[in-house]
Amino acid sequence: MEKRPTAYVLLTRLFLRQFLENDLLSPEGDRSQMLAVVGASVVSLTLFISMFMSAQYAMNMLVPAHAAVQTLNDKFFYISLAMLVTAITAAAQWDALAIDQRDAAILQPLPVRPRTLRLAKLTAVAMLCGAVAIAVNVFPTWIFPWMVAFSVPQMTAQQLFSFMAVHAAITIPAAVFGFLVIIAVREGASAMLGPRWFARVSPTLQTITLIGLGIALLLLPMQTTRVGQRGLSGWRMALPPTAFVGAYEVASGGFLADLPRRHMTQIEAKRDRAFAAIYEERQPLFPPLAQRAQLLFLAVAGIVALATLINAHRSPAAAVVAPGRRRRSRVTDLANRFQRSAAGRAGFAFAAATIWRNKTHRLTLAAGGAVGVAAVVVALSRIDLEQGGVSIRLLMIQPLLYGSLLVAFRHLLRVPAELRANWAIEMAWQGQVRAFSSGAQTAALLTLAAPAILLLMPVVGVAGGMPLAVAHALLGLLGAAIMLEALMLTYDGVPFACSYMPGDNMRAMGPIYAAMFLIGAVMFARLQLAILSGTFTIPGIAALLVLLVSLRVASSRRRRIAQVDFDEAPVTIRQLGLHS
Amino acid sequence: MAELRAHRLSKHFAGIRVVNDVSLTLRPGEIVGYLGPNGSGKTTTARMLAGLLEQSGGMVEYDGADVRNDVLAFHRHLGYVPEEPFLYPFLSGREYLELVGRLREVPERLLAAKIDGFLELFGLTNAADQSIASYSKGMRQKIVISAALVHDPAIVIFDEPETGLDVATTMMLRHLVRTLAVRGKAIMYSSHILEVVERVCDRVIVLHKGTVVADDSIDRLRVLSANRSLEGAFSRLVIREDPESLARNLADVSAMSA
Repeated sequence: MEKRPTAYVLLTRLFLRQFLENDLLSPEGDRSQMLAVVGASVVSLTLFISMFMSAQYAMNMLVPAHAAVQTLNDKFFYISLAMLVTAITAAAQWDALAIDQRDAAILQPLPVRPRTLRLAKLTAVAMLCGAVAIAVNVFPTWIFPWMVAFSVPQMTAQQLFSFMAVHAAITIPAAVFGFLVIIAVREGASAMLGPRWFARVSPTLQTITLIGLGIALLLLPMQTTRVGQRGLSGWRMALPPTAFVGAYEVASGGFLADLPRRHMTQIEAKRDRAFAAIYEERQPLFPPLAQRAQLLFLAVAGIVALATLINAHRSPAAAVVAPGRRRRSRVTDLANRFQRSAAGRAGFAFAAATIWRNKTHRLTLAAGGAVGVAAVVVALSRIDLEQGGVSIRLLMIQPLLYGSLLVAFRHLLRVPAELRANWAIEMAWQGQVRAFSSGAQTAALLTLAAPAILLLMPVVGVAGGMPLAVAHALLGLLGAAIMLEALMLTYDGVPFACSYMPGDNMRAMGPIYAAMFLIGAVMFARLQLAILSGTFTIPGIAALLVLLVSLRVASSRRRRIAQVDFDEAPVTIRQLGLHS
Repeated sequence: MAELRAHRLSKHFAGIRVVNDVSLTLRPGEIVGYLGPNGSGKTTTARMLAGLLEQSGGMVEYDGADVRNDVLAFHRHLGYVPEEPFLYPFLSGREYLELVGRLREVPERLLAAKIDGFLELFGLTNAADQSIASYSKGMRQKIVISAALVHDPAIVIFDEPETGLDVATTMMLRHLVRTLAVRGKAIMYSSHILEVVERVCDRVIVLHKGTVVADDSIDRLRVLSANRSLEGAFSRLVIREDPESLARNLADVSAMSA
């Protein structure tokens, strides 16, 4: 008799498919193509990183103590990378991590026990977590120990395989830990807030989480340099990867430092003694760190279990209940205040809604924000705020942050909010491209640049006092308006209502644009310093205003022939593939 | 008020002719039913008439002028309710209507009053500020109908508007269509539901495989086809298989056992 899959198996398959058909990663995407792209990205990224990071071992012979200290950096890096990649995967799959409103609406009327539903979701999430944890660690587990063995030939085959086993045994749980942290954040917030409130804050929480993880990933290379040499004290000590490094060293028994010494030159012997002293200094920290890693893992797993149990007793459908009273939209208020024409208000409200609520748009903005914040952190890491005083480096952080966000916004203009829904804009469109774009532009200025500028005001305030910070913020708003005008000057489409057209020759032009952006930020910071210090105040402000007005005039004189794009053929024709 | 005329409209996709030489006229105060089986070209015609799809041949005229000369001006007079209510899922119903109304340059206060009116009459007030993603198909259809009427258009094209609507709303829609016609709007009403077309429309155009096979008043169609009902006339014009024997065969397939 033919064996039929059970409801549990069918639902697990369905939930696994949901991960690939995620709106954030693959809106309208092809499943197999998506699987191939994600798989290839993770594998090639980790292969490339492993080869790149391990090249130093292949090219140098190290004394054992040096190898022991040097590998601490790489262990910290691989553990952090594993945690971050799985955490980003989990954050990208945010809504699919639990039974959401859509699942509830579709599956609850079916004759499936809620327990089976939850078990299937749990299995699918566990399978995703396991697959990503293994995929991200498979190449480092093979390549890193092999390459270390090249630089320390005393290592025996048994020690090499034991090294590999320990690497996998630590980095895979570290990756699972990263995944669990995101589930703990999501489920914890859901348990505390309840379905209705969680439904409201969930998109913001997801965005903040993605931005935070993106920043951490960008800063990872800088922060893992010379960890072993600098020591595991201070803020680094509090990081979860440090605890897992301790577990790594305890599990491996610190065998690299104890490898038999070959014949060494005087310099090598001196180096060996110096690194041995460093390693011995770190060694007592490892057992308590290992213990902390265990506790952290258990604590996060405990939070996940508790929050999941609490949420299991609530129906996700509860979040769909109407709020009951009309909420006056703040976006509508802002649109009415800042835009005089009806089309301008439409552009403002539509842009403000789509950039924050559309998942693809949100992801792009999160990436832009992550780049900006990373640049700010790098710039700030070399400034001693306690010394006081305003420098170009300090003033530069503002254009770097809002500039990254505005560049992301400029890219988003070409990404349709929902191609199939654009017929409505086509029907209502009266050719008001200038007013509609101006509304979208104002929305970017008020909802992206202004908050970024306000966010950095206290930092400048600490260094130069609040009056200067306020003046700096106002100059920043002027700078953001100029940048937006410049970015929009060559844009001829209807914002968010055109088919996506990739930019030409971005591989060649990308670095040039990036360099121009950095040079522009430095120049603007110099001008700001001159204005704020009083040496060039009136001419400086006048120059900025003239530039803004000139750009606006140039933009209004530009002849725009905008077209709204949508799927114009009837659905049946598209489904049959007849529409060429 | 002006007429909307289609002259010998045709459309082909990948060499396959979907609409063939369709000519029709929508006059103010008249409701024209547009009937045809699945895949007969009704939606394609409606989209060409609305200026959303470029025709392969023929012409659409509004007030004596080719609409392609000034599509934007034509759209000011047109309301369109599509078969598939694709909407921006991240907007709320109210935000969607505001977007459409503002693009149509309806004055802000008037727009707010109209939106409140539509939402209340369609029973959507409580859901007005929820995202459209959480709406049922019927709720989406109500938003689409509201958006099509927000600017008081002279011509309204309904492409199977009753899809997903409940009984009460369908009945209300019929009255709405009649009221709009009484107020001088030209209406094209494409539907599968013969009973609705029979009750609502003044004239019926029947399409079969992209070609018009009948264009007359319902009474004359009944007389010509020697049938007492529109269903009988429609069956004679476009249905080639015997529906009763087909239904029996389907029931047999359903009753198959291992």
